[in-house]
Amino acid sequence: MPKNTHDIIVVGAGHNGLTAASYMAKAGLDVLVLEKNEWIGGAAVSRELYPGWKYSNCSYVCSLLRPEIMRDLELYKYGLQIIPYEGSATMMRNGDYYAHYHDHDMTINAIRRHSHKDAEAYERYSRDVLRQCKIIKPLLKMTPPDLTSFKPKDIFGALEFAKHFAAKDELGGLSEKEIYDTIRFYTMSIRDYLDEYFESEITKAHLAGSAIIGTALGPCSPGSAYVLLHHYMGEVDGSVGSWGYSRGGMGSITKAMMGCLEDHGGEVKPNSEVSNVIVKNGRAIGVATTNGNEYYAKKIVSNLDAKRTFLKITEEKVLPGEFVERIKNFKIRGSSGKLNIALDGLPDFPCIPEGDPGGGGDMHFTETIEEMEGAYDDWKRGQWSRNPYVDMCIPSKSDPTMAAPGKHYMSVFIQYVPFNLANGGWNEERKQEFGRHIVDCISEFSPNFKDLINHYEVRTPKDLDSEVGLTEGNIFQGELTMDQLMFNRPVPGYAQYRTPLKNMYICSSSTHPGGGVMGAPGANAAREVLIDMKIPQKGNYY
Amino acid sequence: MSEKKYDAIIIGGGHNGLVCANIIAKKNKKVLICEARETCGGLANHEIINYIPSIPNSVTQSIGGLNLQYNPKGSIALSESGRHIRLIGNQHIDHATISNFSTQDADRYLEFDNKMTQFSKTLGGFMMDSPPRVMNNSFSDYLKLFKLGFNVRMMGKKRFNEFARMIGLNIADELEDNFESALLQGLIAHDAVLGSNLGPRSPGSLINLLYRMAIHGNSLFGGIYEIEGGSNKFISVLLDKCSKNNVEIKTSASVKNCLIENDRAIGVELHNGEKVFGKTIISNADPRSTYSSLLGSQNLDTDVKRRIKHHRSKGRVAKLSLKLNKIPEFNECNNDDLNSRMVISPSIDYIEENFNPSKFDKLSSEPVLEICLKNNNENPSLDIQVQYAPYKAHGGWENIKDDYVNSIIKIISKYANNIENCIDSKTLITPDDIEKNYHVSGGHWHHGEIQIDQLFMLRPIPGAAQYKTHLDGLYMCGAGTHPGGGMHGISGKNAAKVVLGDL
Repeated sequence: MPKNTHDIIVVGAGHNGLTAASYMAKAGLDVLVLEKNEWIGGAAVSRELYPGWKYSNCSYVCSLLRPEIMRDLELYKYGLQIIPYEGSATMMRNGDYYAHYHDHDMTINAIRRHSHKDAEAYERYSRDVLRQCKIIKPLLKMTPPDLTSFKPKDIFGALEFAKHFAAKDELGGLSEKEIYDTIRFYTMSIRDYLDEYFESEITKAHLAGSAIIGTALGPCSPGSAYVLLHHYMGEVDGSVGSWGYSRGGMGSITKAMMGCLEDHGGEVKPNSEVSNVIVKNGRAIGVATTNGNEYYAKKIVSNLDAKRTFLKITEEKVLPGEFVERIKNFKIRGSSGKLNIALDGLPDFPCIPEGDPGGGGDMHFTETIEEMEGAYDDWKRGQWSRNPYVDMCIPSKSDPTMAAPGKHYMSVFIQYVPFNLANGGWNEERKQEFGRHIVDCISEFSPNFKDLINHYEVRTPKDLDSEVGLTEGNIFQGELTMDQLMFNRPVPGYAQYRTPLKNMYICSSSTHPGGGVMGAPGANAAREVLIDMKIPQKGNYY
Repeated sequence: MSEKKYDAIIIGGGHNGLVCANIIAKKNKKVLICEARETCGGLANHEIINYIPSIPNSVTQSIGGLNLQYNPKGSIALSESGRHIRLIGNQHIDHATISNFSTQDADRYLEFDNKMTQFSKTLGGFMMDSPPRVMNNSFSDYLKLFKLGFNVRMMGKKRFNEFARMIGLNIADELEDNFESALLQGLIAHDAVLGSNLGPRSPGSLINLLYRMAIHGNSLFGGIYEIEGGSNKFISVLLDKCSKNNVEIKTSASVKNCLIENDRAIGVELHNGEKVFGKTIISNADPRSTYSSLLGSQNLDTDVKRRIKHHRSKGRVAKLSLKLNKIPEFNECNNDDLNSRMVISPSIDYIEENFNPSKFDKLSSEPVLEICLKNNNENPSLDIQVQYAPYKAHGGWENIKDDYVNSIIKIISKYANNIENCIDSKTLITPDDIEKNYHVSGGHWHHGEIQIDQLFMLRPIPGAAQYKTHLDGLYMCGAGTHPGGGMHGISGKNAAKVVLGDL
């Protein structure tokens, strides 16, 4: 028996890899996680990249992380703490602002300031969207069935899936109307969807933001309404659709997962980049790292996105040709950038009255859907948006661990930034030019912002690709469009976390239910591995 | 008050209305058509359309055969360099044609064509019939759903998976995955977005292409015809049938509203005050006019009212008609080419750039064009479908129409240098004009967007997809209903079946 043998090897210590690893370690398996970087956490990470300031330099806010996973892995015990947002606001060029609050009635009042009709419509809108959240919730922790298979397991799986849609009303299923609503919601553009409720541009622009974050779709592209749902279906403390900061930055989530994993005997090896999967007799038996080590295991679970998993670390010849073709055509497009800013004080945003909780969460300044779509049109041409949609927040306002007293950390998420920049691609100069452009955009709304900047870090899709390992810098590890969701994710026929290569699994966000710091793909994949190993499992994911 | 009572009163004498009237009248029912314009035909008119698919057998049979002569039309994607691509819908010939550009594309094209043909056939089977309602607890509805599922499943595992993926896909991704020739990509993408509010990069544009293929004989570039004697011939043949079947037709008889008694439609009132009564009323008008003008919003539930208000039916195609004094010389085009459907759509990005401004009702200076040369009488003309012309243009159509026409001619001049010297007169019909002249709200060819949320059992709006409106006795038979527009009369045929069932 070769040395370095484990039950399970997980490739990549992102939140999904760690979730899968923790579940399997809890089930009594010997789990080794290999991470290419010296730090742990993938895109859920916080590091002191500038002395005195901690940057959550990839993901920056939390909502999607499934509460079942927090409970199963006892993440609270290992130090996870979520601080809910108080609100969110869009600043307007005329000096006014539009805000939403944690408190529903306050939100209604705030909307009424802009439009009475919209305030009324918002009740209807929240009800309809929450209904959709409830419909999708049970699906998040299910393995999508293979609709083409006649195996009893898949047929029952398909029936189970269908049951959520077709059950009679008394059983909590959907009525005919709700089925129609659901089809519409999954296929419409967010612009058309919001037009059915609201009249004022600012309401629509504020809400539509969630439908474009991280995706290569514009607000007019059919399918963007689903992306909105993807950002709404999370919860903080049982409040569905809320967002919050993770105390200590997003890295605390993966740190807590590490805690759970190590407590159950698992191990994470940093600085170990997997170069290839070792295949023998058509089965994956281990992995080799770039620093020359080999590790063997009964099962290999990849936390890398579909393209990296099947085109980079797996040899093409061990996979069916058609499958490789599909993976090559898998849509994974970088569309977002980020600025992480160290501030010497709290910048003024004169649009938002002092002390208004709307300023405590995410802030934006895109006032119309047309601006947003224009930003997308720039991206299609291979340019960064001249007038971008930004999602900025200052976590240090609610979380003192991010910066020294009096100092602040600001995270600015920018939509849209291309991976392949037209006219020559990214270089250091253009990256800095992009950074300055964003700073200028923000300065329009904050006169003292520029003076307070001590340091900032610019992140382009290129950086996310090379450093974190997200192909093309796509934050969801694959576009969230209908052709790549549920049984189609990552490719039709292989949505069950298993791969064409025996003993090899995939647990990344390239699988159902998709991206975001959710953990569900990891937990679902762990369940499938344990089923195949015939190991009984306790917890919400069995 | 008129004593006469009809079995069916059809509001609007478009081709669907005429098909529907003939089928009902053939069963010895008394049918009246009220047409608001001076002549019947609606959008099935050479002013609006250039080409039609062959009328499906199920439709022609149900009205006792149509005597139409079809001339097949090839398609040619014009290139500024003169390296045009000519496709006619015959696999062998098209394969050879594309081979001249790229052998890889040619092989991929065959694969793509086969795959799409199979998908369009599967969908097509579903399109011919009225769509089922889900959760209706009716056996026949479940059977229909099961049949669709079964047909899809029977395509085999590989195709099934591909089909599931393609439903929401955009055409640009699929074409870029398959082909390297930008011109070929542009041509196929053009057909995928023609008449819709989608760009080639908008998800859902692929299903639009499948829809188009399903009505054009399940073929990518075959099944496109010109009718011998002009597009109006279709209508005149239908009108002949009407007189044979004793269908009464009132022209210049615009309907003011529906007469309602005990929550049932019992007749219509015309704008001249005349009232006519019928057992059933069938509207060939678009869904929005049907609901808001004929029914009246006071008779609708809030929910229905809201749905209709947001029914998306903004047209995006304008028609430019250029009367010519001589035939312009198109670069590297022979007579056969001039006789083909000439498409100016050099690449996917070209279409997308063209689509971008239209999202917010602005004009593009470089529109996508489908050109049809009519040279069968003394006055030749170029009939041009201009894609992504907004319904209501930013700044008002009246102020920008001339500039727009000139920019279109400028585009054509890149392919036909002497075009400007050939033009006698120019007429541009915008979607807004279509709305005014033809009483189609939004001026949309299909009376409503062809997108998944407005297709099948959701077309035109949920709860009214089986040709019945929310009011008893009032039916719809226009292109706004399943399966949609495109000069094939299936909506009219299906509606007639439903009405006859109720009579």
